[in-house]
Amino acid sequence: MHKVLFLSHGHPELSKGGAEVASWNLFEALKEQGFECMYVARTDGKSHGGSTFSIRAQDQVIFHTGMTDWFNLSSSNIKHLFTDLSELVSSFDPDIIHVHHYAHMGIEVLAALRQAAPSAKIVFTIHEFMAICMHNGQMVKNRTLKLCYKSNENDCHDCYPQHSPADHFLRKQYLLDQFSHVDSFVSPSHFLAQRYIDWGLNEDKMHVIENVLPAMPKLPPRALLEGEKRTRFAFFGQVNPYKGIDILLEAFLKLPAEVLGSVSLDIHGANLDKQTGELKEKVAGLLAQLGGVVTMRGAYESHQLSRLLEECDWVIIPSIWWENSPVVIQEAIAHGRPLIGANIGGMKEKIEDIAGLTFEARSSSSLATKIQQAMEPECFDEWVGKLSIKNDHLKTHTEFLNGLFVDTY
Amino acid sequence: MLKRIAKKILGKGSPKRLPYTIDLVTLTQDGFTVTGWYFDDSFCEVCVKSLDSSEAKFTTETLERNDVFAATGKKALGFTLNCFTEKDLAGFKLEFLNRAGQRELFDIVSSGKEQVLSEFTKLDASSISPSGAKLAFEMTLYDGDSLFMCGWILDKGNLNSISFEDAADKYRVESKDILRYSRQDVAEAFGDEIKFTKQPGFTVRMPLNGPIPAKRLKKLKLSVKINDTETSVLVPTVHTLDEPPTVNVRRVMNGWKVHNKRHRQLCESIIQPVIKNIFPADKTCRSSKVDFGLVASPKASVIIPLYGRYDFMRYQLSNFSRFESLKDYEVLYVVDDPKISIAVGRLAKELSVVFPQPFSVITLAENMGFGGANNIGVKYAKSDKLILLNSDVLPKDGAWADKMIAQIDSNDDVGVVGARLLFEDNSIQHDGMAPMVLKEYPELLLNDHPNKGWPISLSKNLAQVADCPLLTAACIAISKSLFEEVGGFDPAYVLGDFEDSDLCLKVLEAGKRNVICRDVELNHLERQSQNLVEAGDWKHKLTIFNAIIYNQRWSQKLNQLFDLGKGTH
Repeated sequence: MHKVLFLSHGHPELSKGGAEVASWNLFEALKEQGFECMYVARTDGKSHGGSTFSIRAQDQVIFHTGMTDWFNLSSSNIKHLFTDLSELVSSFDPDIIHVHHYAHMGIEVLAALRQAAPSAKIVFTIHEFMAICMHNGQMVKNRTLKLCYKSNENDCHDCYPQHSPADHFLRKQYLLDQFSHVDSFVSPSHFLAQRYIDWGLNEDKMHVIENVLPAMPKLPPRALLEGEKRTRFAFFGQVNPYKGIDILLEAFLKLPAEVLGSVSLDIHGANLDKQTGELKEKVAGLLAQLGGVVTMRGAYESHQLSRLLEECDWVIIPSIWWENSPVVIQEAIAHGRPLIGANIGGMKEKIEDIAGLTFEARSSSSLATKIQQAMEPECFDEWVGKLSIKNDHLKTHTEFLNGLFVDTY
Repeated sequence: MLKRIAKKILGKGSPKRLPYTIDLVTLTQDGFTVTGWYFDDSFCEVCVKSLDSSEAKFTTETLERNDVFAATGKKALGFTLNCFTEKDLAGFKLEFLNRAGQRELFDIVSSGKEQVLSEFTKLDASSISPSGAKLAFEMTLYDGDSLFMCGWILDKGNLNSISFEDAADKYRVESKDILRYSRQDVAEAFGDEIKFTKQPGFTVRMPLNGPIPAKRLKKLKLSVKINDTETSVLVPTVHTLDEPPTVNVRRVMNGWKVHNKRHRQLCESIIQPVIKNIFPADKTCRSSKVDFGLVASPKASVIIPLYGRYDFMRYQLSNFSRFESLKDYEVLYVVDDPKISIAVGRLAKELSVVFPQPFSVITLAENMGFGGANNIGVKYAKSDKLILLNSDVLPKDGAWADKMIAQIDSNDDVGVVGARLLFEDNSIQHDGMAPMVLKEYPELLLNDHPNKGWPISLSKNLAQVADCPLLTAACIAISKSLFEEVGGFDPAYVLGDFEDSDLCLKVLEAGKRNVICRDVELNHLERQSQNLVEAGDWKHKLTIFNAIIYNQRWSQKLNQLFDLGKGTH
């Protein structure tokens, strides 16, 4: 069996981002399949005695380093990458290095890994647009928050005028240079893959493989009382300006009064308190108007997810950015819950004709219409019926990994 | 020696030493950059503070200043603050956090810049000589051969001459040899009184037969004759060539008005001799080389000067490594900017670990200018073939260098080989140069980049190798022996202009032909490396200064080559 080294920019027990969770799920799944795996996760925290590494388990190493240049996504911590990490990696001697991020470590980590394991296959999973877009990798314009369709030195300069168009050009060329160390790219969505191909990655190296999820129970639909409709809606995820929570609340306010009286919305999400004044105030105002319709349920742990999904009929994902392949979509599908999502990017790809309804992105009235449509039990039943698609992402992934060596032998 | 360095770093005769120094304030495209240092035991932090309570946007870089430590014995931290703003520099101050936890505010003014500016901007209407003549010698520079003086005088057009007498000789410059110009500040200070003096400003060069002793320079007395009446004036300060050339060149340029035809005509006799002394042609400087990997017998030596921005090294070495375009080449970076040499050394160490491309860093003790830096780099070149490359040029593939060198290898009569250069949006930046005339300077041939900014598809030039007399030195190949035979880049051109077309013409004179490889495309992020040069018109004046030298030498040849016909020269 091949040896696989994972590199993640965070450990899911310390930070629960999509990339961390996705890489962790794959790590667990491959271990079960018999792969010998090592999970290396970066952290900000200081380690014991100033060592570059500490551990959480024998197969889980914590890498204490940081990035020094967020424009070039570059690091000057050369010793961390090219001596310390390099020695650790060559000692483990992996056949496959599964990189899930370079953020907080520096894009040079790819060169370091290549030097440490010259014959290993480096697989890189992309999770958002960070290399393409300086705006938190969202491809949403800075300040105006308009959707961005393509990166371009001059347009990027408009968003980030402190860097000249030529500097944006240099940044891109530098990142493309570093990505040349990667043997195969994995993208969980076609949408994200295409954006990176348009940007400059080699199409032949790109593989679209959905994130691997742990086994999840398929839940029966919520039992309805006589004459009751599918009125329970839920939102899962972080609250930030790109997640469209304000649009979601506005959509509920646009429901006819008699409908509003019968629906409920549960918001399972953290970080509303961490948002800046404007969004926080707007959401607070909308919540006050909606009264008992909306319940803020706060953050949740993954083991609670099934129980929380059980309570609802529909999951809504109203993001104003493109998204990639939100884990919540796959989780809802696995649990037998249909979705309503914005009709752009990864949400459109993963929901339209597969898992539920889509609405005109950023339009609360369009979402309100879809909510009313979704309440009808016939609509719900139709989509729950379509959901029973077999989840074989793990099989696809292991085939892909084994395939990496076909040419070699 | 150490004392001299200390003096230089700390500034001469400053009555009380401040715990910080601002080395340089430069205006950039999107704000300004402040470079300096502070003593570690006095301050622990520095930032930019906006005076109108808005938040100043800036980035900070710090580094150890071993040079300050060597001179003072005290630990000092160097800093570079890049401030992004559209507002004027005057709206900001530097804020230090001292070791007592208090914040202290200081003006953002570098000592060098302050000197240059104050000489020309502060005008006191009461500056009248004891005799009553209204005049001032604001700037006097002694360059060893002559006195170069600028100032103003309310002479109602009746100035006869300016003269100077030392023990042995009496020197006199007649009015006809003195440059005159209007002065807005003088007009404002004197109001109606200036009515009869249209051009109060004057610039004069007084050639001398022998040296003036330093003692005498301190009490230099000149005579000004107006309407046949002689007035004696004491010159306040006489600058000498001990001061940095970049400061002195600005002093000289200040008194030279390039839009005035007479000023251009008299450039040769008044401006050129002084500039020649400020930037002597035989100037050399100490240099040292550090190797980061070696190439045993390189196909060619690639020489890349670094000035101001040094982060280009990262992008270039990354690119060379990815495409393996310079695997068998010697890459020589020439640091032509003492301010960045420490930072370059540190970055080079870092990059040598990340990238397999071997390279060397040659550090110059002084700023030699583009041509001078290349000339020194060539001396270090191991190969008998050269590629001269700008630091802001980024190749697009792995074949560019081989293709250019192949032109030299396979054609004995080929001298300089150029390439097609593109902006970052892949529009044309350089496709061969041609002479052009601007209506502001009708007698001068300047360098034009035809089709600049165009899509390649509109270019009539096919993508193949073609004869092309004038090529930009941003990316050229040439044999080392030919480069040396024609004398390399001519140091007469000050701080980088026209020396590339001058080189091309010298090569043509040597019986060779120059070619451009239009099948070699590289991105040239033009003017990036010069962003850090201070804004101001002295740089433009220097271009015209260089253009005049270029035309003195080549206008005839250019007229033949390009069949320019009438209307020029």
